[in-house]
Amino acid sequence: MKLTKLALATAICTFGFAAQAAELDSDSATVSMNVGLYASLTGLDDFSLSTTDADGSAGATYSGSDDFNLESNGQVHVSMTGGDLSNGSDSVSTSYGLDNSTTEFDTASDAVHNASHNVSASAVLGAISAQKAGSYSGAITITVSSI
Amino acid sequence: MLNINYIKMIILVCVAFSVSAHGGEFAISPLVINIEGKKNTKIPFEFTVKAKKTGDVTIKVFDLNQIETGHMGFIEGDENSKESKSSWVTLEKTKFSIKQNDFSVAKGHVVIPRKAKGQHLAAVMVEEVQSKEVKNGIAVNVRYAVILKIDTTSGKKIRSRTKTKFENLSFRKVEDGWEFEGEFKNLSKTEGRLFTELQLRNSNKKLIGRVTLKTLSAWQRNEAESMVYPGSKVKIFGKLPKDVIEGNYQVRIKNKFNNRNQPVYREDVVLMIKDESSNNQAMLTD
Repeated sequence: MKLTKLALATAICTFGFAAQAAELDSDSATVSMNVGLYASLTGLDDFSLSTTDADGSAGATYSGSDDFNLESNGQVHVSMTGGDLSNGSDSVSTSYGLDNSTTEFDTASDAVHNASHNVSASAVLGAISAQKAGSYSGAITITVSSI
Repeated sequence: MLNINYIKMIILVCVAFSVSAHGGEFAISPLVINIEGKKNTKIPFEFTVKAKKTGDVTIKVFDLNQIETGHMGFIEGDENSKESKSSWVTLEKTKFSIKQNDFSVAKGHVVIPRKAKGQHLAAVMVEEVQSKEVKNGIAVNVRYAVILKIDTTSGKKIRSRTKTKFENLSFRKVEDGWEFEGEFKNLSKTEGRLFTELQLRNSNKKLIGRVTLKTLSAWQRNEAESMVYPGSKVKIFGKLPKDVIEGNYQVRIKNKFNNRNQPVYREDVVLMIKDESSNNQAMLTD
């Protein structure tokens, strides 16, 4: 009787493991992973403008720039806004550019990106008396987005 | 001895100031979050801000509007405005500090109003806090826009009505060809991808040439289609790389929006090279 029970238990275990093994053999799983769009802009700091013209002369052009690194794992859009440099109520016409071009650029579509870029500013004085002497400052905002 | 300690202290203070003069540097992930869910319920979202340098960040809700170039403009949200998405989005924290090489998870939730329809965009702007004031030169602020793509259909594939309009065709002579431009309006509730082909036909309706019109953004991104968001108007343009002789022609604009053909726009024009001081405009011949 005991032997019969033992044989039965062994058979059940064997069939159970066999069934489980068969199940494992035939099972399949889909592994998926979604990596989010990631971006980082580094190395950019405040910068000052200088001129090779006579300082303060009419039409003198002041320029300056700084480099930065942009790293992303997909396409991103970088845009820039900024106003004229000012000193109290006086202001100087100022233009800006990214990579010596327009104020925005897109990285390549469907591709990672890790490259150096440049932001530049240029301010042109008016007539000698159009703006008072002194320190002029302004601010630019660089926006990194997916669209 | 006292003097040496005094000098050391001055050096330490100088170093401390020079370190604080640098802004924090951050990396953000993900930059796009898809929001889907039932109306009038809290739909949570989160993103990670990693600090490459120690610093403080602020996060604010912004609205987006698509400008004519196809690029997106960002406007700080106004909770008092019905149009603003800032009343839909709640942020758990609006300011936090992160140490170098550490990260923080920014959390929030969206509540889609019961009456909302279609697709909407909002942005959570992550901006470093400037701890200094620049008195001479340019202060640089860097910010990241985490785009929230809000779908009010809660995942259901609702076939929404597509309504678009093309207008204000213009053209001008350029080197080795003609450049055409027009305005496309998406009057639908959903965003879409626009593929536009301009066909130039002679008086016998024979095809002379064809060109793809795209937004500046699509040209810059080297994408075949232009993305147009609900309620937006974009300028699309393209150059026909062919020197066509002056004369009467018909322009046909075939717009395909989200793979659906839109009504064909036809206009009879006279291609004529004008002097540089005046712009070439589409001239109706009938």
